[in-house]
Amino acid sequence: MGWRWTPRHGEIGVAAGLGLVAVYVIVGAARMPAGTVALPGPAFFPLALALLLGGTAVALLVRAVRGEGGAAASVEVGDPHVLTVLGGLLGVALLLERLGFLATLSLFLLVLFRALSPLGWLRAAAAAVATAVVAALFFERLLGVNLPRGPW
Amino acid sequence: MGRGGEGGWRGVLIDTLGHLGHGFAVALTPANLLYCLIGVVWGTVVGVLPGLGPLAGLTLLLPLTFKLDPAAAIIMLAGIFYGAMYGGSTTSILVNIPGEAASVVTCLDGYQMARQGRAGPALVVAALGSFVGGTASILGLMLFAPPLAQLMLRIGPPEEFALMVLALLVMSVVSSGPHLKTVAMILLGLLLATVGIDPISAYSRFTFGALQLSEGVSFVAMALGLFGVSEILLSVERLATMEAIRPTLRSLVPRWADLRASAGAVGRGTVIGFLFGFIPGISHVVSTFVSYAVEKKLSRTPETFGTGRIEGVAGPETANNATTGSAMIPLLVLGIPSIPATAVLLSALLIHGILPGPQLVQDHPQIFWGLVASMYVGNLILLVLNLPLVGLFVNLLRIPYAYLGPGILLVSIVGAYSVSGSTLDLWLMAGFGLVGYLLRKFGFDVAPLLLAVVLGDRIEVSLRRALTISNGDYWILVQSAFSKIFLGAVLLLVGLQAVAWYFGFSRKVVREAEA
Repeated sequence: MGWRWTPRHGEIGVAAGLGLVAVYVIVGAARMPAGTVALPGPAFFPLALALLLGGTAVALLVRAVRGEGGAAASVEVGDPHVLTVLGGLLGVALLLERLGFLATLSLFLLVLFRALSPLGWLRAAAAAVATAVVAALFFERLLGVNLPRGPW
Repeated sequence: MGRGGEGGWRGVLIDTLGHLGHGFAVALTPANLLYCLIGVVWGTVVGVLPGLGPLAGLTLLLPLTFKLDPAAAIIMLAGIFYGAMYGGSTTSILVNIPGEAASVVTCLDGYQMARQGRAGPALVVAALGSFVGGTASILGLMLFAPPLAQLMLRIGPPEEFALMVLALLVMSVVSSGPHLKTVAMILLGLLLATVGIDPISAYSRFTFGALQLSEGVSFVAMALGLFGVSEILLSVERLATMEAIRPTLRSLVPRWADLRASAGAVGRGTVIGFLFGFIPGISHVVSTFVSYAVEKKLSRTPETFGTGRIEGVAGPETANNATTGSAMIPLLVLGIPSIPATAVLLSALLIHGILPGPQLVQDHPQIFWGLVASMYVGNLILLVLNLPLVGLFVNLLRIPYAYLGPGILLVSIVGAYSVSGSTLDLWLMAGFGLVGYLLRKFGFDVAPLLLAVVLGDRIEVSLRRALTISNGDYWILVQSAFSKIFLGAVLLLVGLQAVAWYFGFSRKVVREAEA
């Protein structure tokens, strides 16, 4: 149920992405001190790598456009489960220090258990909270890892 | 190794045994024994569970080793590394799904043996072969690493640069997939390594003004994202519960004929695995395929491979464990990780302020020899524990991924956050997870990217130092004997690749002309 991409389109996309990275680094390195031949500055290595990466990106693009990778079947990208997991991870990054470990991870696990398993809301919530509590006890009490408490 | 001159080999042997004794004194302390046990058991679990390879297993526990002393940390992490090699065969044999990449080949004959009611002998031979291969490779590590370290103490920045370029080039040659894609990943990894404070001039590069990025992109967040999170994203697309064949304890006793049939394969697998362990790239995976191909070639009935031949299990499983000791040699002696898992070990050593390289054996003998001794102990623990615990591992395999995946993500979140207590690392982990997922979907191997990140700083520093020493003269990179050897090997590899490409191109032109 995600989007179907042919490997060719995917490779074009990756090559374009790498090309953009190369351009960004070249522009950024141009603003840094280049140093001298005897004492290369901070711009030297990133600039050299970015030029090589740019050339490689162009070669990848040409290869993909010519279809030299072979005619492989299209692949599905962005299945709803994948988007749920990614969204959940971003949600954790956003809420962890605001709501604390227990609340954030309980919410995260609830969303994932509901999306990935046949559990109903009540069972998923119970499992999520129980797992988060056990994890908090294990990591904080037993291993001494500092986890955010939140406003509670 | 100072008294090597007196009594020649005898003196060297006495020195080695003395150092090993000291190593056992470190490895056999109750605390280090416990960490070794935790490492090997967790490594086996990681190897058993598909989708959670040794790299993810190592990265998950890495942040938890920060409070341990360096010897304990490296003992535990190394235990995960070689423990995963033992565990991977269990899933291959009982479920026909490789627990980790190096166990793919074991599925071919191992699962067929299980279907014929011979899961027990397959598991036993895999465990015995792993023990022999692992122990022999530790012996090789013990004998070759110290003299190699002495030799490497003579190399300076130009030689170090040439050696690391050679390592990256070899990686691009042996990596799976088209070489152009691998080169792109290596260059991207080297670029990512430039993020942060420039190690020579202290200039801030590509940090977007974020203080947390001044020490570079978090290795843990990157590794967890590229390997752990991306693997979970790929796995949740095809959720399924696994059905595993369940062997009885009685069936674990092999026949004498099985042991005799596997002996040759175990010996050959040991040599193949040890040699391949040095090669940067996917050495332990390649060694298993080579071992399988060798056994099939040497067999009088090669057509029976794939139907349940015990040599098809013994050889590859021995080979993949035999790479563990030799993979440690470039890591500990040269500071060059040959596979992503050893990149995590490198990272752990650096976090504890230990610089792997030729001086490690001299300056931190308790770490080197303690590790060597613990690997002997760990391999013995694995041999003893693996078989009786096979029932437990079968039960682990039955946990639906719908619950296992979120559990792994929870540990990943704690691992990434606990490094520096910053949510930036969580954003990075999610971001690299997405990048890794997309790259893997479109046939890009992310392992070279991670290896390049680990080597990037040192390549840059050695090149810039070499140019500073020579006052800008690039010839310094090829002047010394070591540099000539390393760069000569680089040119040879490039030449061979060009020839291969030319003949490949020629075949394509001929095919098109004939069509």
